[in-house]
Amino acid sequence: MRPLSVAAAVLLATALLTASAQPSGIYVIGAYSRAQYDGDRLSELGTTYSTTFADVLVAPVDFLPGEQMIPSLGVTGRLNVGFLAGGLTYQVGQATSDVSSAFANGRGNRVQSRVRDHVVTIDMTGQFGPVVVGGSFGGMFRGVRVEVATTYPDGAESLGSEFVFNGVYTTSSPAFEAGVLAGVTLGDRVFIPVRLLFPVDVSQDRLPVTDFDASRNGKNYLPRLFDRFLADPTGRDDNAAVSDRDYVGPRLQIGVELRIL
Amino acid sequence: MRPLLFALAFLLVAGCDTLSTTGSGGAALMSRLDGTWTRTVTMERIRPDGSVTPEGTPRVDAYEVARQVECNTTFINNAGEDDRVAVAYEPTAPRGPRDCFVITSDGTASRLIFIGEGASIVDDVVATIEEDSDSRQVWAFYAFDSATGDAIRTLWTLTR
Repeated sequence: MRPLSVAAAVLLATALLTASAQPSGIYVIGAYSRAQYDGDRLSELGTTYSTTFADVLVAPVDFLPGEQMIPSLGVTGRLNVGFLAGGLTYQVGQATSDVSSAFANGRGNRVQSRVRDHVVTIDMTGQFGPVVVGGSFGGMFRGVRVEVATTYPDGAESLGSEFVFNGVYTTSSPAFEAGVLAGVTLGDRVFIPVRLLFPVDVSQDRLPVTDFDASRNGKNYLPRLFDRFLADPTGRDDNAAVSDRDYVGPRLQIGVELRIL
Repeated sequence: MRPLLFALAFLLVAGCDTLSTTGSGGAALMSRLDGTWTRTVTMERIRPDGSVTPEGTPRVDAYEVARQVECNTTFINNAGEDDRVAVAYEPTAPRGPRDCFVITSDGTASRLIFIGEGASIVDDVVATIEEDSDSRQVWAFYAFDSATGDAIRTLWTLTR
């Protein structure tokens, strides 16, 4: 989080020195978001897996990151009516992770995850000279894909059914978001927004991250509690799974908007 | 201004492309598989030090993939876009006893799934796709030799 805070401070300081009113128009936006997930729950896969294989694992692993930097691109429409302004933004962003474990016998697991966000945000702001402050709210569709492979001593990777852990697991984590926006205009074409957004959960239901195409011994959910996953002969212990809500959390975003129309 | 418009167009196209979270690779793979192939089945032993040696003698037969396959006096139909019926048989006895499978894949076409072909009806057998083209397919299945700790890789190489 610190590099993002420093970058935000530098950009805001620069912007304040060359600030002006924010005009209406169409902007393209590039941004970075620091997205937090439910790190406590996601880290349980790594800890329970490492405990289960403690005797043969070369080193403990943490397969699923609890927070990520997500770069994004998008388009914003802004309408400024005197002191008040509104904005409608669409962004798409993506982040990946790639973590491998190694056993003493040369085998291991490789877990690759991809989080892809589609976000629509509405800003309602007021302008105080060059400084823009207000509220942001909107909706997010977060697609999550986790691919688990077994690695072999010759370098081959298998998504096959020889291990129940192998699979391609997916989920969708939609969420509403609400928070605050602060920003500064730079000339008549550039706007530097910083948003802090929190998820608004309308449902507490948790849906397991699932391999929708293949089932092994009845199991097709991505394990969160690996020991319970292995001891689940019927594949019905969904409480041992990583869930869609584990990928919902607050976001701090800083971006640069460039007016093109 | 023109570069900015190009940048905007690129953003919109990229955004539309990423709207699909599952992809359509499975249907495209099934289209590539349609038809009759020559299948060569080989086995390899992978030792913990990474060395690989061949096992046994390769076997060659015919392999057919279609939406409808004649399977021991009855026809099996699978009309979906993402799945097919597959059957292997001796080319010299195409009307002999056949084992037929329903196969499918996922959106990224990274694996081939033999539905319900494991130990129970909810146990699928999954192969990893090593090569994927119109004229050549290589699928890998893995198992273990518990006596030695080696991995056994079975490769199906389909050509036409």
